[in-house]
Amino acid sequence: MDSMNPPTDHRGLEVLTPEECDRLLEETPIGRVAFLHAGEPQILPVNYRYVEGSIVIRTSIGSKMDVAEMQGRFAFEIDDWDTDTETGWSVLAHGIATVVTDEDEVARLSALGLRPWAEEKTGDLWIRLILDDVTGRRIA
Amino acid sequence: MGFEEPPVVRQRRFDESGMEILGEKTCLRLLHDQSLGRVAFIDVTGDPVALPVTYRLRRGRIYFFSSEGAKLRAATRGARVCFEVDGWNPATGDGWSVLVKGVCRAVDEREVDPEIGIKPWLRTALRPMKLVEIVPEEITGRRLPSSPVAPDWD
Repeated sequence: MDSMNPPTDHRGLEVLTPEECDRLLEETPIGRVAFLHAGEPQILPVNYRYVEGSIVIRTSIGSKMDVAEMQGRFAFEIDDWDTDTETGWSVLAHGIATVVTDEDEVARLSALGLRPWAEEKTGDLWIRLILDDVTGRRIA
Repeated sequence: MGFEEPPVVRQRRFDESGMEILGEKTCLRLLHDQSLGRVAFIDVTGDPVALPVTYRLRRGRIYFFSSEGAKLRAATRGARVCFEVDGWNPATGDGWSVLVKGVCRAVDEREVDPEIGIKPWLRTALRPMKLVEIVPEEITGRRLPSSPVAPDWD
């Protein structure tokens, strides 16, 4: 493998290393979660934190992001695109959503200062997205 | 100079989570002004997929190129998709988003106005890029109350 030429996928896109994907997941505050809702694809922006290899989202009970509504697997996406230089990157992930119920963990997550994209009055709900497949691409 | 229409002051509307509901004109302006969106669909295995695409809004439809092949093929046979654009302030975390629900299909480039002015996201694409359109059925937008996007076009 020639180290001067980073690996590319079948489309000719540069493939980001797992370390680069980790760094971008840590540095980016906003992502989008796609899931099946009432039989249709749904995608919503979320404020998130990347904690110990998982995506953590603060939402509220009964909201569209309520894990009970997410019915199984989800897709998670972050990106950045410079319209002037027409360069950018994206990181895509898939996984399973779970509700954080452990009180100590909820307290720890609450200390992160994460605010939900939309505030609701029905009480906080912390969702952990456990990622089982993370891929990144650079577009240049 | 002549008669000047008085400004129409509309009631701002908020949803149950306290976000301001954006009207359709504002949503269309935001869709027109942005160039990067994400299309979510259900793939052949039943898993949700979210793909970033550079797009253009033309005559009320969303156009983008894709080389996703098999992954998107199912979605381009008239499947329902959800398309998303957003904007946010990194300093404050305030933001807005517009969601488009609609039907996705592959289009023949010859059918489309050559002035559409879109090009593939990938200049170095190894695979032929297919032009895809989304025909919106429902457009909704939300904004956090202090967000910089003013819904002044509604």
